[in-house]
Amino acid sequence: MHVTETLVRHVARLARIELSDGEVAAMVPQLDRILGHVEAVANVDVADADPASADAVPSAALRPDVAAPSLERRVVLRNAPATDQVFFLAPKVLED
Amino acid sequence: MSAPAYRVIVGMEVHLQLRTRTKCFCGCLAVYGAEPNVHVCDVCLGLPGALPVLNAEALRLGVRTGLALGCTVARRTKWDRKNYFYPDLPKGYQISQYDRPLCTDGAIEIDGDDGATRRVRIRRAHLEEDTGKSFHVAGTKHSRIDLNRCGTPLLEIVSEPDLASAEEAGRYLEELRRIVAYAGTSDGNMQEGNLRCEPNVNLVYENGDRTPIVEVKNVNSVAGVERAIRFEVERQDREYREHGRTSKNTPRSTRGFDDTTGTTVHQRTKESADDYRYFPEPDLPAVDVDPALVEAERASLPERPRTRRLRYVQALQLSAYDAGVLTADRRVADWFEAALGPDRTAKTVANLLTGEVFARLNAAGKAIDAVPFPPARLGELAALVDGRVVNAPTAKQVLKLLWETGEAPAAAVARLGLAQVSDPEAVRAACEAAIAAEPAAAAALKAGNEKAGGRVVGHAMKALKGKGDPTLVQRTLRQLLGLPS
Repeated sequence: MHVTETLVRHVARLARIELSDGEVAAMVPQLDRILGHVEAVANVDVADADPASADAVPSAALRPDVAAPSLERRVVLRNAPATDQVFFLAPKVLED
Repeated sequence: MSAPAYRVIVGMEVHLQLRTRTKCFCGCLAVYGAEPNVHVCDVCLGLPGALPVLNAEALRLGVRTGLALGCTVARRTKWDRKNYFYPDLPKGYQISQYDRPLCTDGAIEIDGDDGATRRVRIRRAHLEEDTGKSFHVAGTKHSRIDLNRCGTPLLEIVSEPDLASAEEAGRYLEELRRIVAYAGTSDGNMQEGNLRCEPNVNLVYENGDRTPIVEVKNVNSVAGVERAIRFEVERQDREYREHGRTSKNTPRSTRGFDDTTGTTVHQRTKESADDYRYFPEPDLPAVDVDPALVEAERASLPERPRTRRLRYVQALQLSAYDAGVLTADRRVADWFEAALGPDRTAKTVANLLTGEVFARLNAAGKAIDAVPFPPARLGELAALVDGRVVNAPTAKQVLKLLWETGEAPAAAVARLGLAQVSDPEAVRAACEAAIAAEPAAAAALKAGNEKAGGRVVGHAMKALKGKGDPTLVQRTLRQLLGLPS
């Protein structure tokens, strides 16, 4: 796969990461090299492998529908940057 | 020049909350209407190190719903991450199913606009987790986020674009709701968001032009779905005729429905397919669905509501209206069938049930399970009506006793001497007295004024203490007046 500036900008937008033009330019060769390494995996012969087969569990072994305690709200909200002690507060989402 | 003709094409995506006690991948309670952010844990929050574990009941209800929709259940199913950012999705991805959905290739039947049966194909039904809820508070820069709903199990049911109008879409949704209610897999309550839908709408013209597909969001009722689609049909046709907008020159888009105005508002354009970067969920193993589970669910599925409704019309000779009323709720249909028997007609049982019984339930704001006597008792009363032992007003009186004291219909009739008077001599005497007492009305009846006859009949019935056999009274009166019977 050949990494382009357009691709870097697209991925950055999906990840909500702001990159300057200089950073975009620097990312192109770096990502290209990383993908080059990962591409080695593509050479493994997986023709007979079912991606879902590695560790399938039988449906009889799933979690029973039994309640477990939830966290206290105080704890739930503790790490949030903004709350009103009841809700998380998030910046209003504007559709793009 | 007349406006170009078009066909309406609608497909539906429905998100159905499955009726589990706990969430799909953790043990938090899945309940509606709780205090905000109290049914939340490290899995719901997507905290580092937290691991999801699939709820067996979510899988079972997904299998059962899929079978109720005529789907094939996968032997093996797997999980994928659908990645996007939104404040009500704390992990930054939703656990869903991409290429190995739990259920595929089903269909349900509805009444088409042309009166024929329309088969609506179900492309797939897959399990996924619900998101939290955002509340946009007017006049602030913030949204409030409640994560109680995060992780509630959903079945996403995707139809093929087999619906040809707003009304068919509405009937599809109603039928889907009845099917899941019959199967007992979801409450299917649109007000509480158990069942949410997103119609996809576009038009195809005779010359082959197509308008771009629009996906409509924020629809919260069956009536809303129909209004949204009708609005879209008109809007897309206008855009085509006035601006030549087709799928070739205009991208697909998402629009939000505004229930107060009945209009849709542009939300976003889909320049290309949404880039959700699906990839296999590394935290959850694939699941091998036990064939014994599938067969057990299949064997215990009830008759489909539509099949039942058509059976009531064809085999029980009920009106389409009565059949619809009785099968709208499976518990009502079950109760009704338990009241049937060889010595009574289905029609009489249906009349008593949808008349007197429903009136009493409605007045008390109660459901069918609040009827204080077993269905067989109503059947006994219906048998007395059909055997002409009691007439309609007496049946009402007997039902009142049955309701209030539980006294069996036949016992009440015997104890109070309520049996209908079918003795020809007694009826004849009462009719003669009525003609003598109401000479003007009797003359009018004789002259052909059927309406005037009511006074004479009333008088005769009164003389019989309201227990006269109405058919015999009518026939006797006509004989006495020399009218053809």
